[in-house]
Amino acid sequence: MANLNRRIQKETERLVMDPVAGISASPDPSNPRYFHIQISGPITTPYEGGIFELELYLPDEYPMCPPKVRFLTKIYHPNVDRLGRICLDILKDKWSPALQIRSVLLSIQALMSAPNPDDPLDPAIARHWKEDENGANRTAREWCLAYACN
Amino acid sequence: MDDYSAVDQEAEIQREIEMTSPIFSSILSLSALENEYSNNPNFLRKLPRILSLYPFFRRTRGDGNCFYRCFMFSLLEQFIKHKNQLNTDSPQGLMYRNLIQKVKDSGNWLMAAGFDPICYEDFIDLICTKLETINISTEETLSKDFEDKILADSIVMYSRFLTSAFLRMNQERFEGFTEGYATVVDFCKGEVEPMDRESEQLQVMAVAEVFGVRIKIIYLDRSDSDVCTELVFPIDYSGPDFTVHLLYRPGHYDLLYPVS
Repeated sequence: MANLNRRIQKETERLVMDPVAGISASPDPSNPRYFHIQISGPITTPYEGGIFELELYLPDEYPMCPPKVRFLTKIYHPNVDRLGRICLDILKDKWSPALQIRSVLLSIQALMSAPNPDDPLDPAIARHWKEDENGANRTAREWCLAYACN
Repeated sequence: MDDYSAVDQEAEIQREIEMTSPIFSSILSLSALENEYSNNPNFLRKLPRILSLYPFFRRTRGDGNCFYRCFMFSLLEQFIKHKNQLNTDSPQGLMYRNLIQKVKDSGNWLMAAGFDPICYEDFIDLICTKLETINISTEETLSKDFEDKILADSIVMYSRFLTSAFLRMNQERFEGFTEGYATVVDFCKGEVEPMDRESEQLQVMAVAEVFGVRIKIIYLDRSDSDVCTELVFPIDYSGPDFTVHLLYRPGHYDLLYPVS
């Protein structure tokens, strides 16, 4: 039976030793496939100053299938639903073993800087963004202050 | 239905395909297709000619990886069949030694194409091991290997990596041929690198060139003719006399065995 666990180990080492700016990823001490993620809200976005917690899990078939990620911190964003699930193509049909955990984290960070209301997970939030972007950004800021800043 | 339900449904369909069909069949008589297409005159009229050239075939599972999987299986199968000649200058020997060297050099090449070693190293190691242990492999061990989904998928993924690298490194040649995608790199990210994406002629051509292997494809379709279209890739092949023979029916590739 082929085994690709060496890769998970190497990815973990690199995530810890050479983290992406603004993102921390720590493996859970009792489960090397489970990662505690913290993403700093990108500057010049309504999420600036907030720390957003996510969980990332590597299923058995990883890297043949994508990591499973979701936001644990509440966030007002058209591509994240109330369960914290994220609408991102590389987490679904565009996933490839040529990508890695790092790629996913970078893409989520980029998504926070550039919400895409044309590919929404929550239609009501997307509508808010399209009809009143300033109002939507204000709500995003309120939620950030309430949930992502302590 | 939200995005994630659609993904779950696709995964369910995929699991059903996996449970009801083996990854590769044993070698079958091609005349089995006569029954399969008894209601399809335009397919049937082509069969006598194909049968005379290719009496046998091997089916593979109908997922989007069938082209790559058939190609890699055929390479390994032909090396195993001629394992006593791999040190000689027979076509199989030459191809075998070329390929081992190519695989060993592919790490640097994949890095130059923009891939991270963490992502491809394991796949290179696996292919190297498979190639270096040909002398103790048999048709049975090969078939067994490919029944291990992780192993079979890893072998497919290696060929996807090489194909994508080839297209990325030769972008100017292929601009304009990547239907539905603005750039060659986008095409690679959408159609080559993800598993289960089907292969069009562009990928077939890229595989033939990057591996340096002649690929001959018999197209069995509904065209109004007794003769099948036969395509050979690459067009200007000048390597050892070594060919992978494939049967293409719309949407699917299987392996063909020529008269020996």
